[in-house]
This record gives sequence, C-alpha cells and structure tokens, in this order.
Amino acid sequence: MATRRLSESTLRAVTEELGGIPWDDATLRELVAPQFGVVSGFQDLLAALDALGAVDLGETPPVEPTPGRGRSGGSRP
Amino acid sequence: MTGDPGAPWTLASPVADLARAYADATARPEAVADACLERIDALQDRFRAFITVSAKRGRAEAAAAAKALWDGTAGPLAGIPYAVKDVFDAAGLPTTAGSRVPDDTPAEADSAGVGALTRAGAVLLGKTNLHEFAYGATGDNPVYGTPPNPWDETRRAGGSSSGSAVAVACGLTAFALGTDTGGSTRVPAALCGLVGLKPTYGLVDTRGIVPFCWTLDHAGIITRTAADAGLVLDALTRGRAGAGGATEGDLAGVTLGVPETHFAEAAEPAVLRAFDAARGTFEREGARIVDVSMPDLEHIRTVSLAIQLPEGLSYHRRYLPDRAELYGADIRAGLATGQFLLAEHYVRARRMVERYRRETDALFDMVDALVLPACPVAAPALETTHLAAGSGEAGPLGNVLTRFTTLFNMTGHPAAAVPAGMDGDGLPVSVQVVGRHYDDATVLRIAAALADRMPRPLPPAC
Repeated sequence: MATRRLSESTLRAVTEELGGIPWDDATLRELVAPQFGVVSGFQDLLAALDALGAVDLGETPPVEPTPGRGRSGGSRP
Repeated sequence: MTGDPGAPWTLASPVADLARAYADATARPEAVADACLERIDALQDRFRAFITVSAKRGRAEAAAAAKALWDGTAGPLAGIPYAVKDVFDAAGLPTTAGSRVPDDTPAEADSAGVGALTRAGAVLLGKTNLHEFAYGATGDNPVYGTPPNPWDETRRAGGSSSGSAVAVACGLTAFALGTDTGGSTRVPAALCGLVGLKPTYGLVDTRGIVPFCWTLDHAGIITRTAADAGLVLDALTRGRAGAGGATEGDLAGVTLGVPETHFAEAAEPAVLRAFDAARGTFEREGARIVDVSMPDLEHIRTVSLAIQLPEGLSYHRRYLPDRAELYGADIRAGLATGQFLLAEHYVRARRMVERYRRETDALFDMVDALVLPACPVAAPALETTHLAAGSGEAGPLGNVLTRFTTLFNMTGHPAAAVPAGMDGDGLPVSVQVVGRHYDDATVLRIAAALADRMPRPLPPAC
C-alpha cells in the first residue's frame, strides 16, 4: 500500500529507470496535481486500487471475450 | 418538400418511412441525399456535427441505390443517408479520430461496419465529430469544436459520439454509427432524445475502427426509433441479430427487472419521474416488473480505468514518441497514467469484470431485461465540468454521465438508451433497456414499446 505522497520526481525516475515513455513535465505534473478531472488524480487512483486489492476474488479468473464475438482485432495501416 | 408534414418524407422521417417512400416512388435517393447535404452545409457552423462531409461518395451511392431500386436489386437500406463517427475507416476519406495526431492519409478500405452498410445500399454522407480518440463522455473537442445540443445550444450533446447524435437529432442523416466504451453511444443519444444501441459485445465487427480499449469497445447505432436500430443492426450483422421487424407487438409475457439500489438515489428527480412514467408504460404494454439486486458497483470506476488506461496506452504507443505534443492534455495525462499502473492492477480489474459479468448474467435467470435510467441528468450546460446528481457526490462530468452505462460495457450485455420524454426545461430524458447476450432483438422490442409510440419532432432550433 502506498504510504507517501506521489511526486513528479518519482514518476520521472520510473520512466528513466524502467524505460518508459519520456513524458514532458506538464504531463507528469497533471498526474500529481490534476486539473482536467477525467482521471481524478493518480494519487486518488492508487488509493482506489489499494481498496480494490482488498476485495477477495477467490479463484475468479480474468474475463474472456463473449463467445462468438465478431471482431478479429485487425490492425490499422 | 422536406419541411412539409404532408410530404412523403421529411428530414425527421425514420429509416422505415424513407424506405417505404422509395418503394412507392414518392421519394428518390438522389433528392434525399441532396436535401441532407444542403442541410449539413446550412447547420455545420452552428452544430459542428461533421469533421468530413463525403458529398461525392454520398451522391454516387445515392445514384447506385436509385438504380438498384429501379431494377429490383436494392439492399435493405438502399438510399438511406447515414454518417459514421470519425473513428470508422471509409475508403477515400481520412480518419482523424477527432485529433491532430493521425495523419490525413485517406483510408484504403472501408471498416467492417461501413462495408456492411455499403452492401446494404446505405448512403454515406460523412464522418462525425467526437471527443478526441473517444476519450471522454463530455464531447469536448478543442480541434474541431464541441457540438452543442440541438435541443438547447447552451447545453452539451454528450459524447464521445457527439457529432453522430447531433447529426441524427438535427435531421442531417437518418441514422449514424458511433462507438461505446463506457456509454459513448448511449449518453449522447440520451441527451439528444434518440435511440442509442450498444449491441452485444462482439456482435458487430469492429475491424477498421480506431480502438480505445479492446476489452470494452463496442460499435454503436444511433437512430430515431428502436425499429430503425433493428434494421441497421441486421444490416451490420447480415441478419444474424434477427432484430429487423422484431419491434412489433406488446410486452405480454415479458419480465422486466428494476434495480433496487444504486440507480434511484443517484439520478435527478426529472429523470426519475420519466423513469416512473416509462415503468407505467411497460406495465400497460403487458410487462411484469420485479425488483432485482445489482452487483456491488463500489469499485466500478477504478476497474474501468485500470483497464482503459493501459489498453489505450498500448495502442497509442505507436504515436507517442514523435507526436505526443499533438494530443490534448487530458488524453495525454490519461495515457501517461496507464504507464504507471501495475500489471496486477490490470489483471485484478479484469477479474472484477468477470465477477460483474457472472453476477449480471445471473439476473437474467429471473428477468428478460433490466430497465433503469440511461443517464442521471438531462443535458448539462456547456461550461459544466463537475456535477452532482441526485444525492451522489459531485464528480467529474464524464463520470456522472456514464454512471449507469459503464457496467454493461464490462458485462457485454446489449443495452439501449431510449427516449422517455422531456424534462421541465424541454430537454430529453432517457431510459436504458439491457438484455441477455445476443438477445438484442428483445432489447429493441422493449425499447419500441416506449420510444416508437412517441412523436419524433426535430428540435425547434433545427
């Protein structure tokens, strides 16, 4: 469980040390101090994910596609 | 001709009426296409419904439909004008996804959906506006403009399939295709007074559509009537849905489930009044109504994000190294968030979806369909970004608008937003009907009992 406030420098270190996409400062700042409200802050999302982790799902597997689904996931040019 | 109620067809005519007018030769596809194109041109600056208008392709398809009607080889949607959300590929037209990120190279081939409609004889008049890359239910688009609601131009039309709903509501096309990942077809249909169908997951082929989140993405259909949605769904599935003509008759023998919790306390009073009235209509049509207990939805928003953001990032990674600065700031932040989620978050979320699916499936052992509000509010003001509805807490507008729709993207059940009248401000309110997997026909039959008995005027501003 996360116990410290998320910081921009942590996210920067993750992208640099784990080889992620080099997001610009403004984008990483939006995760730490959100302005847009589509995602209500990464810190809040992490807390919500912690709570989700406490749900006992037993042996429930991940969802699979509905039988007979019609798409084949074709690629775009 | 198009504004005269005594004319054989008007811009508010449902697909079925237009097809009859062609059959008895009181209307011609070329004239209808020309009237729609003229109307698109007249209203585009105000409503911003379209990103690309395909007049050349549309007129050619209208001429081909006229010939097919003459020689008896016409498909089921011959000469019917339509539009697609600009995430569907259509040969010869660029696919912008409402963004500056993709280049403007025309698509080489039709998406599966456009191809199926072309084979059915429908006439493509253009590609419609949307929330950038379908990332949001508010319909905001800083690149192509945000389409306002035709019932009140100071209000939102909803999204992400904003332009598709506005095009049909304004009588610019007879129907339109959208997509629906959390409610993006049903929400704008609800706010604009239309039928919005999210078919069973996988029933409609999504090849050739720019993806947002493969686990939750559905193609969607926006029409004026439930009967029309059945005709279009059958064309898209080559009849596999069995939905065309399934909307006749009453609801005798049908059992409908109404959720006991979660929904009533989280919607505005006007929406609940319309829902109660709709419930009365269903009962008068012969349906039996029982209370049902829905799955616990406490974590549903978290589950949705834990799936959407990593899947979205996975698709957009192709563009991000070179074009990240061309994304809107909201979607760029969402994609970045996707990078920092853990693999176990994603797997856990997909396990929750399996639980939601099993628990919702179990309800259909007791009922033929669920009925609940489609959207907790009528169209909010254009400047609204956060909103409280009912006794619920204020939250980001996109979360509020999709509060009643997201579950069924996870479970894959067919769901339709259905017009249920107007509120005290003259804005549409809507009911949602949800059915068993692959029983889209029953959903539309129930929807027809409500929507297809109501008058279908164009909004006064149109």
